[in-house]
Amino acid sequence: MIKEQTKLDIDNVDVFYGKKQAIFNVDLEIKKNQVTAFIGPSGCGKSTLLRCFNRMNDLIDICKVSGSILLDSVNILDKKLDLVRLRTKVGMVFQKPNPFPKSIYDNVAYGPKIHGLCEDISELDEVVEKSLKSAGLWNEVKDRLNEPGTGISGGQQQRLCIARAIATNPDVILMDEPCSALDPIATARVEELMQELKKNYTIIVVTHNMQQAARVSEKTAFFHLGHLIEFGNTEEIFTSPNEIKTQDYITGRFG
Amino acid sequence: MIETHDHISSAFNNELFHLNNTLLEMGRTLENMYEKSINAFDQKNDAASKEVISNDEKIDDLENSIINQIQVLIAKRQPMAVDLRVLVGCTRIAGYMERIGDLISSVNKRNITLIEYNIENEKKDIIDLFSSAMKLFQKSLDCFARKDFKLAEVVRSQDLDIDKQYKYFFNKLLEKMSRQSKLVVPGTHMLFIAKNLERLGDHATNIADSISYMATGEVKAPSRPKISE
Repeated sequence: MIKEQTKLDIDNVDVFYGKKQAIFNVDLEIKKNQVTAFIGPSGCGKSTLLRCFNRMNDLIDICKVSGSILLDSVNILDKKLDLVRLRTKVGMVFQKPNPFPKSIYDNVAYGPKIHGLCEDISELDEVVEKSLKSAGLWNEVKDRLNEPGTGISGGQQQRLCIARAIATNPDVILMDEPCSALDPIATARVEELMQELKKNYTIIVVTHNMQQAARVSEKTAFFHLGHLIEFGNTEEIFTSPNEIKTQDYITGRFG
Repeated sequence: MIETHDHISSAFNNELFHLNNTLLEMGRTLENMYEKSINAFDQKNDAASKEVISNDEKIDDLENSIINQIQVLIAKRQPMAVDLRVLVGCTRIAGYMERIGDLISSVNKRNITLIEYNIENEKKDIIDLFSSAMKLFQKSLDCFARKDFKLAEVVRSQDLDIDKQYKYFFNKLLEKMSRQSKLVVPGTHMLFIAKNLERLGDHATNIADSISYMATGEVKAPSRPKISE
């Protein structure tokens, strides 16, 4: 068996919104080339923690994060860290597909362009094609790249957002409820895509859909009221979890 | 103890309650068939044996109802953790109970054949086996009704006693049959009855083990104590 490498090492992380503590002393290791699912009731801190990984919480004035989060041994909580560069390395996909009001092509080309990742147009064309192919969307949109990104179906828009996230060649992809606005077919496509993408990326997905977490992830972390209650192999978490709180949550006994 | 009535969804609780009741009904029906079988054997009553055999259809119907309920529950509720284990466990238990129904039927078919033979000398041993297996089966039903997996250990240890009892009877009768040729036909039927009762004990143990599995998620090693014939 291949040894699991740690991609993100989260150590003693606390998060405060003003005086209210949202995350309590979380330690967690996210393994490379795996899908890790964060589950837990609304307000448990799973999205807050996810947003620490690309420093999105910096956008909220009252939010304070302490502890350390090492991305390949670099502490991404370091004040001097280049945030723009961090966000090329840690891409994000949101609950609601949010393509830019631009063409399909420009949606994907936007990141590489502003970060100056491509030398010329032909290289940019290549990146766009490769990203759309990786996102499983190329065949559906290759003849309409100049049409608006907002004009395709919801499931296609979400895959466009995934293509946009991988166009900057990130290491980690964060997904916050990526399928909750999608129908079952589009959901199955995104889940299939996650299995494909994890070969090259490390994926962390926040989901309220227990079955989705059980289907797509290798590891699952269960959060409750800002505490990490249980973290382990997904198969064990969903068949016989160690903690009664985990069981009560995943079987619909409290929420 | 395994709690199945404390979900947020009351409809889910009700469905599990109904499933539990159907299994309990299957258990009660078998218990009833079994009691009649002991009397039918003791009193050489072929009408009673025929009635028991005809009851086996009800067992098959109950098993089908249980499997249907579980199928719908899995599709609708997509159960996890203990709920998932309960449904897997109930699927297995329904299967074991169905097998027990078959064994009881088979015992009664042999009883009907045996009526014309004199088996007075062996009767007591078989009645003893009947009552040991009955106790074990009742204990496993109790274990299910109370979802008390500690009782499962008791059932496992008692199954070993039945195995010993069976082995003793088997050797004793075989030895007799080798000396008295008129015993070969009834003796063979009695050996099958004894074997069926011994198998019934195994299935009672399987039921108890399924309760342990539901509670703990651990599957008992199949290497539970066995004695060779």
